[in-house]
Amino acid sequence: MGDIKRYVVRRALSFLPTILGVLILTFLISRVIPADPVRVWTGGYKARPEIIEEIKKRYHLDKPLHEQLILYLVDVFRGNWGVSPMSKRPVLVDIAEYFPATVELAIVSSIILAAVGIPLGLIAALKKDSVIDHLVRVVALIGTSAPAFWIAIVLQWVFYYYLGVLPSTGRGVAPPVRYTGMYLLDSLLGSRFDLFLENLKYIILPGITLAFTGLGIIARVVRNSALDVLSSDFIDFAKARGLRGLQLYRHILKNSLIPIITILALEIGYILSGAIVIETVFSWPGIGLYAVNAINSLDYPAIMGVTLLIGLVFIFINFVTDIAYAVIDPRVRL
Amino acid sequence: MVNTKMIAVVVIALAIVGLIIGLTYLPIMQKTIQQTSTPTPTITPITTPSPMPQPSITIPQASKYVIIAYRDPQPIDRESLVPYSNINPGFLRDPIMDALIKAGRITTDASLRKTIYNAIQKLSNDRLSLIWIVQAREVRVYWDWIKNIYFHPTFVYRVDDLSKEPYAPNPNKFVIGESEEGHSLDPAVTYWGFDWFIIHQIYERLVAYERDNVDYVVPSLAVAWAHNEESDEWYFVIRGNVVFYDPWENRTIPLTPDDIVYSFRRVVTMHLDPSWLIEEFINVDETVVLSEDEFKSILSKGLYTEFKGENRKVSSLEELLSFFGYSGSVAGFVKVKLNYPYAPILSVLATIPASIVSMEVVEQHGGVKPGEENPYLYDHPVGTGPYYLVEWVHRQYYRLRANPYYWKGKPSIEEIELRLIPEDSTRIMMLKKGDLDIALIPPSLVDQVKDVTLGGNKLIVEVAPSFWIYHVTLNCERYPFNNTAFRKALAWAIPYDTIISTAFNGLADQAYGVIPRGMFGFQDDDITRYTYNKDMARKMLTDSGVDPKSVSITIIVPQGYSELEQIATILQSSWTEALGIDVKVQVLSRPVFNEKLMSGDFDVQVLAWGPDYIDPDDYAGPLQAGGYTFSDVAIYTTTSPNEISKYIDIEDATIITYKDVAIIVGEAK
Repeated sequence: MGDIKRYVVRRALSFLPTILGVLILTFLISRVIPADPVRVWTGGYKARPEIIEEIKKRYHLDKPLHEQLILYLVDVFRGNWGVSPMSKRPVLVDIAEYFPATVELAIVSSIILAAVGIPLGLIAALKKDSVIDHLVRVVALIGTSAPAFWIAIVLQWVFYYYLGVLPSTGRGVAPPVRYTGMYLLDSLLGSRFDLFLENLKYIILPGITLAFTGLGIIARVVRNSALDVLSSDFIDFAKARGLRGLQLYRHILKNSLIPIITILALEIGYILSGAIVIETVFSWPGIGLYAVNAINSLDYPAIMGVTLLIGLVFIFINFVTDIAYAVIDPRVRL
Repeated sequence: MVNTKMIAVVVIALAIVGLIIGLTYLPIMQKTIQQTSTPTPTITPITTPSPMPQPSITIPQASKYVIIAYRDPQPIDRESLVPYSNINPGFLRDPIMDALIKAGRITTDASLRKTIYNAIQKLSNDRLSLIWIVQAREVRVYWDWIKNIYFHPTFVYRVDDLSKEPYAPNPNKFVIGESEEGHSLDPAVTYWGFDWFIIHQIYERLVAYERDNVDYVVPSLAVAWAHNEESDEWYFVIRGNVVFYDPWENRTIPLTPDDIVYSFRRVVTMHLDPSWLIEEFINVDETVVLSEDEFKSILSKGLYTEFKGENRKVSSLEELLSFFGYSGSVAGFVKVKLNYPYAPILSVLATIPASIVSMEVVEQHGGVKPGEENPYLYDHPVGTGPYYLVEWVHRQYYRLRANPYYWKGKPSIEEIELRLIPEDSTRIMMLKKGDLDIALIPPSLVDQVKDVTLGGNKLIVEVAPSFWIYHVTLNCERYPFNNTAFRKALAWAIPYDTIISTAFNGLADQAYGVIPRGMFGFQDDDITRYTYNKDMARKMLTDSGVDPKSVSITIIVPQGYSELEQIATILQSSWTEALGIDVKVQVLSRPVFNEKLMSGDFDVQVLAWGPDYIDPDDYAGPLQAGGYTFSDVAIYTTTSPNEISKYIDIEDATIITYKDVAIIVGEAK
């Protein structure tokens, strides 16, 4: 396992320049918005010139651009991501409040996605061109083509309005002690199983909606990748050796994992960067709506904070994916 | 592996190239942006607005003459002009309107004030720096198990005034469905209507409006008030036995007169968005606490007081308190010094920024810093009002509970929950299911909540007048909007009825001037009632001398307001059809829109204005100010036309008649 450790360190180091690149791009993008952000922050209509000047100073907007960039980089590494003029709180505090909601939703929907999507794909591959295969294709097609908004409203109508078994909106009840900011995990850590079950009800509908949108892609990728594997020589050999059922599935799955992990990682990255429509319909206080509000109100510190966060999330997911490849396929480590 | 390495290299290379480009070109780009956003001062010669009634030497017959004489009119520098503050958003320079606005501010005579605002209304209908479109109606949708509901134009309602039937689901809880959360619960900070609603349940002010009455204020933390003859010094008797309830440290703190002075000074020191409501009118340095002896000695010389339409001169505390019918205990006395006599000061003192905070709480948690918000007060409100905040979970809900120490007694509804549901269709679903008692429903979706019942209960859809005025602003610094006849041509080419039926689903009434229907000073009997009239529009266009083929207009609207976008689209087609001019519509993100609005970088924009406090000055000032300063404005009244020339030079004066009164505005002699 020695070379795996070395591999991890090498990969980690190679991401450092990428992080710097993300930082610089984040900074530059936020400076080309064609409006004066200060006026927006000070409330527009009735703003007074003294206050405008004061805010310009506080956010270094009166300095030349390269100085602003250096001040920004120093601040980011010091953990000072600025104060959002809209929420009046440090951006990191805002992120710490909203990002766990997104992470929690991403975990639940990824579990649903993997638990439903992978078996669907495998079944479709094994029963190629059968009724099941076509059925999976139709489900996949609906998942990809139906607007998330529509699915969300339909689910809400059925499970909340008509059946009355699930709540409509919100995250549920905050556990008394906050460890991670994720309600489900914190309920478990605080041994509050009643709250865990209660909060589970709130996350089911947004989780399913979010999973449904990625389901089609996952099922298709698993099917194609499994078909590739199925047609390879070693499967024929395995079949000839008399392997059946689960034993055979294990071989198929393991060898078709790389593309599945790639697409799953991309899906998770997408979910983590915020699913705005789903957050809106279910009043789910995640990072997506926060980002949209920040953009709409030209909230520089928040825009930069969220962009940086999403950049880091993608870098981290790529990193984990790379390591996963290496674990699954030793050839990658070379 | 090679792939990711290459990607990293490409990203860095891109970043560096971007950085170089950014550093070299960005400063230039920013400069050009700035240059284009400040309007070039003289594209076309700006003609001085022709005053409505041509200066006439013949004085009309009138039973009364009101003379407004201004001295040393000075146009304010272009750079110092702030729309909605010292200039109307259409940037029309107008000393006559400014003199009228100033006169309306300083006069304390109610009937004279009314006359002045009647005149302002007429002038705003004729000058048309803004074309008045509609006054929107408000839609309220709630279940019939809520009783005694009412709506106040500025503060909506207070939950302790309501009650809930015992058979309602959750009879002790009032659940409100809202769309977006507010900005802050600090009354010195926020200018957001939804925040104001919550603060209204928690904090109180010296005076208050009783339910939906907008005619006069009633005692709240002050039990009585009086003022000197000049009306620039106001005295308040503070209610005794009132406590702040601090749920965060579970304690009560008695209200003292010091809290009142402290609260006003705090707003001014912090100097944030809503601070103008205090700063503009109150001199906080000379606003002080008085001892009983000091107040009694001032009273003994005689003070004036008005309450419920009656007025009285009083000279003793007993006399003052009995006029207000108060016999309880008193916590002390406060003198509020005004910058100038301002008749609607009591309405200003009833607004949210004039809320009374506890000096002890604020001083224990960060105090007051100039130009800065207090992060503790942002979400730790401590007030004397009927409810206290239990929990504010961001973007999910606010929970308030009945204050057991409230001086009027604990309210009957135990809890208020404000649920934040951004999606309209989800909110409607929750309302129909009975999980919400009342919810925000956009006018366009009202049909979805009509005739809804739930186990014998009915969802009530009520439509009430509001003070929101939708208007089209014309940039009078630019050609051809600097031409009054052209502006009138535009006003005659607007299908007001179509706008009401399409953009407002029928829930609006046409507006004719700056003052909304239902407000003091409103009149619609001596104004021009613009309609869609092609002949009139074409005639005005010919009069203006503007060649329609040479005109290309861009209408800007902020994103996210469907009614504004619809108005703009209707204007586009009707102006093109009736006048043959080229019209484009541009929907801009709110920040970009605001930037153009404030710098005057637009042709035409569409927006709405709502009340900060109930007085026509809150409309006339921001929407019609003319960009002038005077060293003095004086008002004289007479019944003899011969006396007019004693005060002003009649040759250059502007005369506005309303009914049998003539208002004559001119430079003082």
